[in-house]
Amino acid sequence: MISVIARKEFTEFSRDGRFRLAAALALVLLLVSSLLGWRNYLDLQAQAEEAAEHDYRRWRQQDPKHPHDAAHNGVYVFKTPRPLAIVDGGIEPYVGASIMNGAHLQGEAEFPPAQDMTALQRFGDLSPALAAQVLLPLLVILLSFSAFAGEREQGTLRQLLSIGINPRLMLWGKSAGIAAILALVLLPAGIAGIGLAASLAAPELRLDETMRAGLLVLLYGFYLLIILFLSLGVSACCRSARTALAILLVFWGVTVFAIPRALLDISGQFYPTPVNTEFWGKLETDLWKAWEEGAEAFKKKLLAQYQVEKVEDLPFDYTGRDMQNGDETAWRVYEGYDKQRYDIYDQQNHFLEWGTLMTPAAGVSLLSMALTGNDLLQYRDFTRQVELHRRTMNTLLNDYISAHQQKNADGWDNSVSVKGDITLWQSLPTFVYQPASAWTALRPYRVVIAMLSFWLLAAFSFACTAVSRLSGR
Amino acid sequence: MLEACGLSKRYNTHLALDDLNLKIGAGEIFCLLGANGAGKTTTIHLFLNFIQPSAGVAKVGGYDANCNPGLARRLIAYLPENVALYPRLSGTENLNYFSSLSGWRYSKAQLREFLLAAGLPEQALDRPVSGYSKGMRQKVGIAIACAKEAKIFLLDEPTSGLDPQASFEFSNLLRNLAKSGVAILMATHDLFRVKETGTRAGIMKSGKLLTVLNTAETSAIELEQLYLQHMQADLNKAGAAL
Repeated sequence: MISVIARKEFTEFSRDGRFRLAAALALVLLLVSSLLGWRNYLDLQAQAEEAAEHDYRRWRQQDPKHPHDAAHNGVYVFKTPRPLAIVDGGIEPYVGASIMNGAHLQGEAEFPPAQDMTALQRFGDLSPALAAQVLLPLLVILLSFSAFAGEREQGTLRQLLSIGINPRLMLWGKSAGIAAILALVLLPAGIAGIGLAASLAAPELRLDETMRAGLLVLLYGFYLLIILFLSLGVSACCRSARTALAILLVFWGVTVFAIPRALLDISGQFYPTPVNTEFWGKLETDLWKAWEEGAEAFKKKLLAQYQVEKVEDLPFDYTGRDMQNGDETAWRVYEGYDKQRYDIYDQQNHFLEWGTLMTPAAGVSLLSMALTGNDLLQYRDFTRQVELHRRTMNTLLNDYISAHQQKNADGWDNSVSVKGDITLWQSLPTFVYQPASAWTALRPYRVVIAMLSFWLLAAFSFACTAVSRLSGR
Repeated sequence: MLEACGLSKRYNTHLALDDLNLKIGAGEIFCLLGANGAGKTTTIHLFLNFIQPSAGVAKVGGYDANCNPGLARRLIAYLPENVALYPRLSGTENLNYFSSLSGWRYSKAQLREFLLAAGLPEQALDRPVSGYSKGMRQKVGIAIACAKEAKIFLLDEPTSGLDPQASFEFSNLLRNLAKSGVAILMATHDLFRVKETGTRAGIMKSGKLLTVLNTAETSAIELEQLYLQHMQADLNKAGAAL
C-alpha cells in the first residue's frame, strides 16, 4: 500500500510543471554554485601550490646569513584546499589558509579570500552548501505543504479515509513518494559530487575524501528528511494548504535565516572575541617580561650547572642555547594566549552547537563545515601543525648556531657571525598539512549529531500524531 | 448490514441528527429524502465515522463505526455528491489508485471495463481528470465504488451532475447491486429516482426521520405529496410567524 501511494505521489509530481520548474531552478543553482566552487578550488589550489613552491625556493636560495636572521625572514606555509571545499568553504574564506612561519612567534593567517570580496558578498558566498541549506528545504516544503491539507481541500482525503486506509500508511507512502522524487533530482548530483571529490583528492586522501563526501550526502539527506516530516505534520494539522504553506515558510525563514544569525550575534555577546590589537599588545608585553626573567634564570641555571663564572667559560656557545630557551619561553607564553583565544572560539562554537536545539540548520552547517574540513577545529589543527613546523625550523636553526660558533682563546667568539648556507636551508622539511580523518573531524560534534537525531525523531513523532488525527470532517 | 440505534449528532446547540433508528439489510436500497440540512449527509458521515456521534451507535456490518472505523470502512463503498479525484491522473489511473488502496488489483482491461460500465466515454479514459466534467468525475466515482466490490454502498447525492441517460444507467446498476446482496443507503433530492430505484424511502427533516415508506406500495404522486406535506408544514409555520 505504501508503494502504491508513493508511486502515485511520484507520478503526480513528475507531471506537475511547478515542481519541474522548482527542481530545475534548484539543480541549476546547485550546478552553478558547484562550478563556481570548482573554479575557486582550482584557483586556490594552484595559488597555494605555486606560492608554497615559490616561497620555499626563496627560502632555499636565500644568501648565506645568520640563521636567526633567516628565521626572521621566515617562510610561508599553506593549507592546500581539499576538493570538498567546492561544497562548503566554511570559515576559510574569512580566516585565510597561509601563515608566515618565522622567529619567536607564530604569525596570523594571512590573505583570507574575504579581503578580496565585494560589498555584495556580505550576503554570503553562493556555494552548494548554501544552496542545500537554504533552497533544498524550500523545495521540500513546496513538495509537501499540500500533501494532506491539499487532499483535504480537494476532497480526496475524505475519499481515501472512506476506503479505510490507515493514515500512518499514508504518511509513509507520501514520505516515500516525495523522497523518491527528491532523490531522482538530487541523488545524481550527490553521486557526481562523491565521484568528483574522489577523483580530485590526492591518492593518500582519496578514501577519506570519498567517505566525507558520502557522509555529506547523508547529512543533507537527513536534514531534508527532518524538514519533510515537519512539513507533512504541519500539512496534516492545517485545514488549508495555504495556511500550511504560510506556517512552513515562516518556519523556514526563522530557522534558516533568523535563528542562525541571532545565535552568532548572541554567542559573540556572551563570549566576546578579543580585539586583535589588544591581544597582540598584551601578548608582546608578557612575552618581553617572560624573556627577561627567563633569560636571567636560564643563564644562572647554566652557570651553576657547569660551575663557571661567565657564559664565555661554558663548554659550548651560549648564543644558540639562549635563543632556543627564548623560543621555548615564547612557545609557553603564546600557548597560554592561544588557548585563551581558542577557548573563547570553542565557547562560541558550543553555543552554536546547542543552537541546534532551536534550528537544525545550525547543526547541519557545523557538520557540513566539519566534513569539508573547513571548521574551526580543523583550522586550529592546521595552526598547531604549522606551529610544530615553526618549532622544528627554529630548533634546527638554533642548533646550527650552537654547532657552528667558533671558539678562540678568550672563549666563544661572537664577533664572527655564524652564517647558514644552502645546505642548512634545504634541511628544513617542507610543510605538508596532514588533515584529520572524517571520524576525527566528526567526533567533537557528537552533541550536534544527537540533537539532529532528536529533531528527526521529534519531526517523525509530530507527523505520526498529526496524521493519526486526520478526519473526514 | 447498516444499523443506527438512537443515533444523534449535536453541534453546540444545533441538533443535526436526532435519535435515528434504522436498519438496512442486504439487497435493500434505502433512500433518504429531505431538504438541505435535514441530516442526510450527517447520517452518512456517522456511518463512515467522519464525525463522531453525540449519542447512539452506527453499526456497519456488525462493527461499531466509531470503535472500529477501519474495519467498518473496509466494508463500505462511498460515493459523495462531488467526487474528488487527482487532477493530474487519468480516470484509469485514479480508479487503479483507489482500488489498489482498497486491496483490489485489476488489469488495465478490467479497469477500463469498470469505467466504461459506469458510462465514461472511451476517449476520456486516459485523459487527465482535470479536463473532466462533473458528470464524468461522478462516473469515475461510480466505477471506484463498484471496483471496491463492497457489501455496503453509501451514496450522497450520487446522480448530481449526471445526464438523464447516465442517471438511468446508474439506477439499473444500483438495482443489480442490490440483487447481488449489496445494502445501499442513498441520500437524494430526486423523488423520481427514489421511486424508480429504492426499496424503502425515509423522509428527514431537521435531523429527524419522520416517516419510512415502502416504495413498491407508494406511487410517485403519493411520495411527492407526502414529501411536500412534510416540507409544507415548515413553510406554513414560517408563514404564520410572519
